[in-house]
Amino acid sequence: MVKLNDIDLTIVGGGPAGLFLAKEAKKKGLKIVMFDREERLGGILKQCIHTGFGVEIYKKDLTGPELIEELMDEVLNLDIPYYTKSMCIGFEGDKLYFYSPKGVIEVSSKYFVFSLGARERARGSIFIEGSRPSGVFTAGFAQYITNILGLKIGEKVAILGSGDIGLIMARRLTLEGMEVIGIFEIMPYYGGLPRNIRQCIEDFEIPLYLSHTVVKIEGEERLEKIYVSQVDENLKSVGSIKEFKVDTLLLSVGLIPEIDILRKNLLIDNKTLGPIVNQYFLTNIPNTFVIGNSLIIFDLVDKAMKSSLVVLDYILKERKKAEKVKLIQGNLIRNFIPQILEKSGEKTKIYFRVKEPIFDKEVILREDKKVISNKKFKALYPAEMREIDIDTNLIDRNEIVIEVV
Amino acid sequence: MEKNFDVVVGGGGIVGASIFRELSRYELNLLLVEKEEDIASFGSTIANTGIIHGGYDPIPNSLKAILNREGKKLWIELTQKLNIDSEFNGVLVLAKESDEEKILYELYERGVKNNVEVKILNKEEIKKIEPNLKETYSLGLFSSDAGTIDPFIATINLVRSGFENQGKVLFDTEILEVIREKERVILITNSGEIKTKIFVNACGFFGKKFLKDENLIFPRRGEYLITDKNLKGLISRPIFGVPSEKGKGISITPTPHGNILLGPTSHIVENYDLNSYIKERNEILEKVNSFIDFDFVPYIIRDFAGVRASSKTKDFIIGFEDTSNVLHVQGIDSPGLTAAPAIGKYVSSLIKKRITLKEKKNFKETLEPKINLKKLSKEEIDMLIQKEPSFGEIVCRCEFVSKGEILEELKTFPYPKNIDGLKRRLRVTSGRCQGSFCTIRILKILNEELKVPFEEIKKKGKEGRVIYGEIE
Repeated sequence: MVKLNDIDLTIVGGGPAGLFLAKEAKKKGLKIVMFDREERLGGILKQCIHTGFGVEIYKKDLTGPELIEELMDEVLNLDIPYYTKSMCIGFEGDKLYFYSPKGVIEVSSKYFVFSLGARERARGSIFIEGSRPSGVFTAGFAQYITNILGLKIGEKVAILGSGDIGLIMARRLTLEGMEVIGIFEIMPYYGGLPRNIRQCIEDFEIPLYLSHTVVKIEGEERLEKIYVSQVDENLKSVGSIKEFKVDTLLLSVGLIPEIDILRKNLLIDNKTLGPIVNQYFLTNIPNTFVIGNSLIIFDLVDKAMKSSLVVLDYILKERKKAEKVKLIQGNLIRNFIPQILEKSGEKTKIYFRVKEPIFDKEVILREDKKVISNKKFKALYPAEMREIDIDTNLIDRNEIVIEVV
Repeated sequence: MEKNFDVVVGGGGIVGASIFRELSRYELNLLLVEKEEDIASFGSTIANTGIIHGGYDPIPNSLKAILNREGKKLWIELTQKLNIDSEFNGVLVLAKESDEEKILYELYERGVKNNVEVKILNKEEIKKIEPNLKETYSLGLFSSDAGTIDPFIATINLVRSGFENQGKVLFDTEILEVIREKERVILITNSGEIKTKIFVNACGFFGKKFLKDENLIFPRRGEYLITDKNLKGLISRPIFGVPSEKGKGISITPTPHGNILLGPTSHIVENYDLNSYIKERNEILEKVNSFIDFDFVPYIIRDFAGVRASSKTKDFIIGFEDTSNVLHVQGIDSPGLTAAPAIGKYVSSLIKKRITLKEKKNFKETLEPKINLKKLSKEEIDMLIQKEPSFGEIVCRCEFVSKGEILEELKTFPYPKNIDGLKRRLRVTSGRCQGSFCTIRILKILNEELKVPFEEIKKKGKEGRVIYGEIE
């Protein structure tokens, strides 16, 4: 058994958020070790060969692999030790364990950070009538098959859900010579970022059907046909059913924070489906933080990376026990982090998403009727994660509400 | 391939597998014939709740009653001998109000007549063993020696055991016609003729056409929902309402692996319909929410449906045709899984009346256990990895299956033929991500280690490929 002792900070998951935090922590002089379950570090960005990454942090419009290369250069220069092909199997007492081809690894560390990314919602979690053939895949799975393995996932493809991965895959498959017959979105608005709608769909003239969904799947062993219906404002099927002959249906119907390895002991927020954290992303498990998409689904990688620095704020400063304030979901807010604020006397950020597209409104944080913080927004889209600042000195009570007014 | 056998068993579901394994005790030239590419890949076996029933439900003295009672005892041994995942934690039937209480008492009486363990529980006793249920029940029937098994592994390991005891297995072989001759049967299949002294028709629903009156068998479909493992501990044993005309009804059943199975519905249908329907999903959710106040929806990872072959006789049909050596095992609906090992013994006792069955001296009762990380300590796993590093490489993150376990499985008869075959053997792709993570790794293992071209790897069946070739 490999035993690693006297570590300051153990980072589980070497995607962008984990890598970024690792290098920043090392620069501050912390003794670090990193783990990843895959053969190479970099997480999901390895397969994201489109651009749009690193704009905020590196001031460059990079592809996923380019951003990882930048991060890896720094990680290697800083001599940060890491273990790949290492699967975390959870805590036993205060030690964390991994299985790896080198053997079982046992880690003793002052602090632990989990940046495990997300998993995609699959067919079972949305329920579509019909048969269960091969050919119904998640969009991220298809992205790996296409971009990493260079293989064809099918010939005639439909996409359910207008989330970013679905939009990006629609463009990718079209460029690779596959026929994308359409994207179907059950909501009356797009799920992805406006820039992806423009660059992936409009520029390639891929049909996008809002308020439409796949109601039935047909095919014995491989998908043969899908049935599509329009839906009303209650998302119930209305009007006539259209049939499309396709061999592939990609699902881009949302991501779920991947944190199941800690599930037994972790308090989970049923809105984000990630853990409940304070403003330092500290969970209810002592000295254990969760960052990146395993905390909440971020819209931009740069945000997932940068936000993780609060972990260092916590670790590097002496902390006194502070009073806790609960943040409550108000009007039109879909989810947010942190769910708990410690009255540390510092300013902090609240990250939130709205339930539906909203224009020219204000988001406020209030105690009963007293507004503590407010910010005006020209437009708020459900796909975007936005921020509002709060000064914890201004809080008197133990509950504040976040809402759109 | 030789063409003359003493006994040919048609059908590689749980019933055929049990008969095959039982007959492999004897010095016979024995063959199992399966129409699909793999055993346990079609039919009632793969859409099964996996419950080993107590035996309180069948009509006294029926074949169902006798074979359920005997089968249950046999499973308790077999799960040990053949390394089948199981949990014998009892089964609980709940009654509300007086009509249901009356049915519950009838069940109790039947259980006593069927000579199986049954006990009436009052409200407090139920609450003690299942604290999370809605307290709308007034009375319960507890069958303490009932339980659950993994029906896939059960079927696969029974066939594996029969094979290790010199039984032969043919896949992709569909029996099209049965020709009855004096003291022998000729089977016309899609891959030639097979001659046998005795033919056992355990072909499930597709074997009804070999009956004199095929209208005796009718299809009854059932749909299921399955949750991920995050609900482990919500309930500790299968929970049923009182049975009705339609059968035992929709249950909440914790599987031996920690998932919760909701279902099945029970609808008589015209066709062999395996589709999922929203209507039936809602029917399931409504029924289970009458037992427990819990929103299962966010935890559901998959839905599936199966068709059972029910018999108008309301009992199993097991026996030789009067004038031929064709032995039918038909109409095996619930409690078919429970009864299966006893059906094996019963069938061999019937065959004994036609031909001599001589026991082998070297019959192997047990299977060598395979490496299963979930059953080893950290120290044992570490030692294993030092010897073979592929056991340290986790391929399926939801179910914790290593590359080493997959490589072992690929070398073990009956070999998995596609990704679904691996799923039924090792549970890869069956977790909460439903294969969106591990399918890629499995594709790479099959391609790199077994040199199978990507476009030839099937998810399902013979045509259900994942990949359409290289991008030009």
